[in-house]
Amino acid sequence: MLWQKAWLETRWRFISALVILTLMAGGNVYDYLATQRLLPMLNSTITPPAQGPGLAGVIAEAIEIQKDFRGFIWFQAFKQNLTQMGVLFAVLLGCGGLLSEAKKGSALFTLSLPITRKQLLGVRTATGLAQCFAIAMIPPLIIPVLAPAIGQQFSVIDSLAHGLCLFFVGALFFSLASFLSTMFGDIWRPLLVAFFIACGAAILQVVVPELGLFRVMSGESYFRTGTLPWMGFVTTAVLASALLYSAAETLERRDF
Amino acid sequence: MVSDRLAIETVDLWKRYGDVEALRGVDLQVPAGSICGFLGRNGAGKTTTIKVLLGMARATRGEARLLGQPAGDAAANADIRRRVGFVSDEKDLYDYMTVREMIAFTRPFFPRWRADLEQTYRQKFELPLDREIKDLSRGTRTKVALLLALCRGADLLILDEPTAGLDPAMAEDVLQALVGHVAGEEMTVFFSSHQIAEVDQIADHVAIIDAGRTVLAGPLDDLRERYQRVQLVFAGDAPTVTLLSPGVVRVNRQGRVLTILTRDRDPLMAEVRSLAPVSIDWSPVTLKDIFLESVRTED
Amino acid sequence: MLFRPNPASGVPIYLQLMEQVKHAIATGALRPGEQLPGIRKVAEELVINPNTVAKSYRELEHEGVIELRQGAGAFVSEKAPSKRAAEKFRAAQTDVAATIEKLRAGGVADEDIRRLFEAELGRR
Repeated sequence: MLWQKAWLETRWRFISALVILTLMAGGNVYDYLATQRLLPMLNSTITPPAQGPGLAGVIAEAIEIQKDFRGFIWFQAFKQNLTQMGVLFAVLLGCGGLLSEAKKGSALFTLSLPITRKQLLGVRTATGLAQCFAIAMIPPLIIPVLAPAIGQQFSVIDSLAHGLCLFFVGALFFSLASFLSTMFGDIWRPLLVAFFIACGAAILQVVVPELGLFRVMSGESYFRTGTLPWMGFVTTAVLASALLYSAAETLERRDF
Repeated sequence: MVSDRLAIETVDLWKRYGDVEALRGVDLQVPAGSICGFLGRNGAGKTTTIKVLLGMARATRGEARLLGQPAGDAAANADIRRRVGFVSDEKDLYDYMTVREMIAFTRPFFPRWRADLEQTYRQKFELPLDREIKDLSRGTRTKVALLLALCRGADLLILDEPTAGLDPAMAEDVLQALVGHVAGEEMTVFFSSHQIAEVDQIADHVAIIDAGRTVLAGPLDDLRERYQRVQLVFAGDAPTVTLLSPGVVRVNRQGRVLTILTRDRDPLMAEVRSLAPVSIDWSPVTLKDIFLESVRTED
Repeated sequence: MLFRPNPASGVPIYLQLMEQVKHAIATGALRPGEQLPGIRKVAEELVINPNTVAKSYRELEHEGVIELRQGAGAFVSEKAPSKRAAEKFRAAQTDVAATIEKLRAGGVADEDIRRLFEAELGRR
């Protein structure tokens, strides 16, 4: 069964991703305790600068946001850890496939089976997207579970909303890696190219704040105003579909 | 029984990889029900031809048909592969699966899977069911690959060097399995090989490819009857002649003896008599010699 | 009883098989009316092409050495020619071939050869 094969080929990546991301999110919950102890010390030694544009202002805003639990979690977990590591794991899940099989030799066996390349890619993609969904939705859910242990509260709805934001952008990077994997057989080149593109997106975000890919991923608009970044979802979905379509077409033309 | 239908057909097949012409006009006609040996030197284009037939690579020019379906049509080709068994020359399978898992993985793709043959070959080949593919020797891996191909209920088997790396006893097991299969089922076997003796032994059709082109193809018995060597002894020195008959491959003069190698015996017979030698001695040519002559003349 | 033919000998395998069957009949290993092993069995035991075995059997039937009975298999003909008769026939075949080659080498045309033979036979 193709599903089983796709699972066997990606299970360790998936399980590591799930475990690591969950541990990070959980870790962030406990970090809050440490911060709470530090914060009074901070206030008594430094006069916080005014909030506003410029580096000083950004730092001031960051400190202010992280004073309460919800803000702290958003800043540490969703804005940083889960977004950064999420991109990495999404890309890792998207690597592999027929071309890497070709390097190992079993591609000819797979290609001799009575299935089209589109079907092969389809199964791999569906499995990967399901895995992306899992690693986006599950780790955030640890937060409402652990929060009471440190005397805090976190809404499950918030976890789910942020999970969704992580998923859409994660799926985009997964599709990017999938597409790159139909061009390169090794795991390094897709990883490298995806890394450069991610850096590019980060730079773009600073220069043109409207095209903030990682703002969508961290669910910034949801955190600040309670509205999900619907435009962001649509755009990433369209881009991801285009990449997956290109992956299918590239694979179709490939000679083995 | 050999039928009129063609299990494999290629017409003027060309394939370019970058700036290398791997195939430069391959013509193949393998009748259904036959066992066809595919001979050629390394790099002659055997594996490329097979890849094009199975839809793994796309032809640059020309036609290729597998069980009547065009190889270039992805959907049709995928469908027809339900009736084709393939063993690659590297015999690579999924490293991380065990033999048992490999069989369980392959089985559902083929509605005509033969559970009875699976039992037979599991025992005959003495397969270690719970060992992982990556821990198997090449010979055992070949046997697993063969089982996976033979149990599909396929109408056509395409085998790239099926006995390479096997010791003579295992190789004979494989040949026996193939021959038994063709006798029992309506099946065609198309196999490439460097072992000319094997082709001699079990094939009834042969195709020789060199530098991307078919140089010789057809029923093996025909070939054996028409490809002959004749030795003419003359009373005096053998004459220097330019032979007009088509198909003359090589002429050798030594003293009073003239040796002629021809692809087509019949037209040469009359011409040879007209030279008025003292004796005429026709003898058959082994497939090995036919092969060596066919690929050498291309140089 | 049937042993492996030599593929590299230059003699087509089906002919070698035919010889083996005739030899088996001549030595008594196969008796008139007895059944020959099936095509598949022979192919598997000798590891040769089943189409080749089929061809041998067909040719043997053509020569009257065996009978192919629909659904039942191949059987040695009741009227199978004895070894001596078969040998005599083959020796005669060789003689005729040699004579014809000699005549041709001597410059006699095929038409003339045929007329010569017919004339000789007609005289008896």
